[in-house]
Parts: sequence; C-alpha cells; structure tokens
Amino acid sequence: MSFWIVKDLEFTYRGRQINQPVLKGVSFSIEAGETVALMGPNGSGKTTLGKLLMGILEPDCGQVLLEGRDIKNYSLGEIGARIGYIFQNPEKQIFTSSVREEINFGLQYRSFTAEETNRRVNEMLNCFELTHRAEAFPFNLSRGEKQRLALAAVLALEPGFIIFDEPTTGLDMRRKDNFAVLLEKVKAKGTGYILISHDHEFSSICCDREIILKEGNLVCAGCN
Amino acid sequence: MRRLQLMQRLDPRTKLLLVVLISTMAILFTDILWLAALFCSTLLFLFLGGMGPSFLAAKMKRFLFLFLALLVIQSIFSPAGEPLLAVGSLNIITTGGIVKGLSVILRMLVIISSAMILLTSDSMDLVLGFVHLRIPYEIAFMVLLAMRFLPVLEEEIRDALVAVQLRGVNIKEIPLGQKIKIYTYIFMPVVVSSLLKAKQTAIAMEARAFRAYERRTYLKELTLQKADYALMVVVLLAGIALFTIYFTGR
Repeated sequence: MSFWIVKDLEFTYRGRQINQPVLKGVSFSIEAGETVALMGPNGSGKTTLGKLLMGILEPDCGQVLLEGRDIKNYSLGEIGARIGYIFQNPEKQIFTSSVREEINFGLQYRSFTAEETNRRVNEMLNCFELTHRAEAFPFNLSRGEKQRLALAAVLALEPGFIIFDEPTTGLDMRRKDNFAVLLEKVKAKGTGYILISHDHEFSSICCDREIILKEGNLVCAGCN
Repeated sequence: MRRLQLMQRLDPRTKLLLVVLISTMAILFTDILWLAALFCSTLLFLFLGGMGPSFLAAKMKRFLFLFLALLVIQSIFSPAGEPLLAVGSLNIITTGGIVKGLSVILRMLVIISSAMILLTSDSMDLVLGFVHLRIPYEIAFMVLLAMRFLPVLEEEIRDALVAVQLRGVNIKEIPLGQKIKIYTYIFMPVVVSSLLKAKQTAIAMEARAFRAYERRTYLKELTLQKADYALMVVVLLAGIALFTIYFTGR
C-alpha cells in the first residue's frame, strides 16, 4: 500500500479577486521511504500541494489518502505524529525559550519516559551539532542553525515522512552542501521525504524522483 | 457601482466624524431598541460603501464565540426579570439578563461595524485625513501600519497553531491545563516575528528617508467637497437631536 495516494486533486483559494484554481486534477502516489522532489516554477502550486498532503488545507475536489485512509479523517496532531513538516521559514515552528526545550517540545506530549526523552534530545543535539547551543535562545541562532534545530525537533519524533518547504532558499553553497549531508542522514534512517523546491540541481542530487507541476497541472510524476 | 462611489468619494475626515459620533452614541445609549436602530443605520452606511451582508457576516463570524460568552456572562451577573434557568435559588439565565447581554453585543457590533466605515477609504487617504486633523504624520502612519499588520498577525497566529499540531500535539485530546500551556507557546513565534517585522519595517522606512526632512509634501491633496460639508452638518444635527431626545425627551 502506498504511503500517500493523491486522486484528482483540485484546489482554489477562496476570497481572492480571481478565483483561479491553484491545482487542477493532480494525481500521483508516493511510497514509504521514497525521496521525492516537488518541482515547478513560482506559483505552480507546490506549497499548496504540500499543505494539502499535510491536511493543512482541504481540497475542493479529489482525495488525499494517507496510509490508505482519507486525510480528512485524521486530526492535525495525528498527521504530525506520522509526518514532519519543515516550513520555509524555520522561525514559524520555534516555540520555546531554549534549543533543548525546543527539541523536547513534541516529545513531552508522547508517553516516553524521562530517560528516553533525554536520550532522544541529546542524540539530536549531537547529530545536528547543536550541543554547544543547547541552552541558547532559539531566535538568536543563525538561519542555518535554526534550520538544523527545526529539523532536529521534527526528527526527534521519528516521523515516517518529512516535507521540506523550499529548504535551500537563502542558503549559500556551503550550507546547501551541509543540508545535502543532513538529507543523506535522514534517508539513511529510512525516513522518506518530499523536497518542495525549484532548485533542480540540488533536488536531482537528493531525491529519487521528481514530481513536476506547471500552472497547477501535473506535468510529470515519475521523472528521474 | 454607484453606491460604491458615493461612500468612496467622501473625505476620510467626514467618515471619521461619522465613526466618532456613532461609536459615542453606542457607548452612551443603553436602550436595546436605540442600539438596534444605531446598528441598522451603521449597516446602511456600510452597504453604501459597497460592503454586502456576506462580507459583514464573514467579518463578524469570528466574534460569535465572544458574543455568546458575553450573553451568558451578562445574564448570570445582571439577573433581572423572569428566571429562565435556575439552579436552586440561584438564577442563571433571566429575561432581563438576556436583554442586557443583547445590549452589550449590539454595542460591540455597532463599534466594530462603524470602524469598518473607515475601510471604505484608501489607507493613504486615511493617513492624509489624520494629518489634516493636525495629528502628527508619524502617529497617523503608525495607525496605518497597525491596520496593515493586523491581518498578518492573524495569519501568523493561525500558522503557529498549525505548526504546534504538526509537532504531533493533539490539541483536542490533551487536558485543559496542557492546552492553556500550548496556547502560551504560540505567542513566542508570533511576538518574535512581530518584533522582527517591526524592526525591518523601521529600517526600510528610514532607508527611504522617513522623517529626514521637517516639512513633508504629499502627492495627493485632500479637499472637502460640498457633499462632505452637507453630510457633516446633517450628521452633527442628527447627533445633537438624537442625544437630546434620548437624554431629555424620554
């Protein structure tokens, strides 16, 4: 069974002056553990599709099935327990006053023992080279550190899949390389991901296949 | 289109006078029928400004929970008339309490909807209107910025709430104490991002020579038209008449 099945998805943002559909009849499927690049020019509907896959938005027509079940039947919390979502701006997902607390944030609402929680937090701090910043105020971190923190906080929950929304925007070459290394680590753990991007070069290195959108239409769902 | 032009042609100062008068009446009047009439008049002005019932309903929908809460609270703490719901000797909902609750709701509706009359003006015209009323440009511009930031702030609160849930937190299922704690977490990204935006806006404004010169000129000049003077006189006379009837004639 596919992890995600998307059938004839259509979506229009309401309340805008021109009610033009952002997505028109989009269908594809994604397997567990797959690494997929969601590509397309600006305004092609990539982020909207990402939000529909996460259940943040509801489609006008069509269906999104997550592990065989309609995504409408999941709460956002249930989806969040299965899939991690990294916003384009990592500041949108920082809630606490220290790096350590931030990684601990999602874990405290699970039924882990204190020992297990600490183990996971320390593992993530080490993995993402944030140990020396563990007690720092997250908003004082550099952009790269914030991105690593967002990733660490999501990966600590061990989601089955991760969606990255434009993760390379504003990163220089060295930081892009570092991020590619991080993605390799994610893949090595058996976690699949979707990379929403228009950076073709980067995506082709980091992903098994590409889903390409153009003006809301699916151009290709299995390009390599 | 014609009715749209009618309100939009008016000077922002005329609309400001209208809003001040309506909201003052809303605060001073306590009679439910007077408040209902005031609300209907405000709706008429909004309709003339091109804001239809569906637009207003969408704007007011977000206050629904607050209005219901007000109705219950007023009813509990201002009991009067016949009891409709009582626990032992304690009257929970009374007819008089409901009337008082409805009055408070109507008052809020009038104040909110009258402020929306200002939205029928272009935001820069509104700033110019304030400047002509001898309000310093810096303060007028701050009001404009606040108006522009409100929808952004609302969107950020919504995004933060989604982001919290996407961290695997099932808000509906956690106990109330933890739920309150979650809501306090949401303020962190919202406050920080607001402060950062304010800082960036200040830098951008200074980079464009904001307050660099003592005297400011404007591309557009506001002039009061005959229709503005006429409406101002009508509104002031109507206001004086209504206050007189309400406070002396009843």
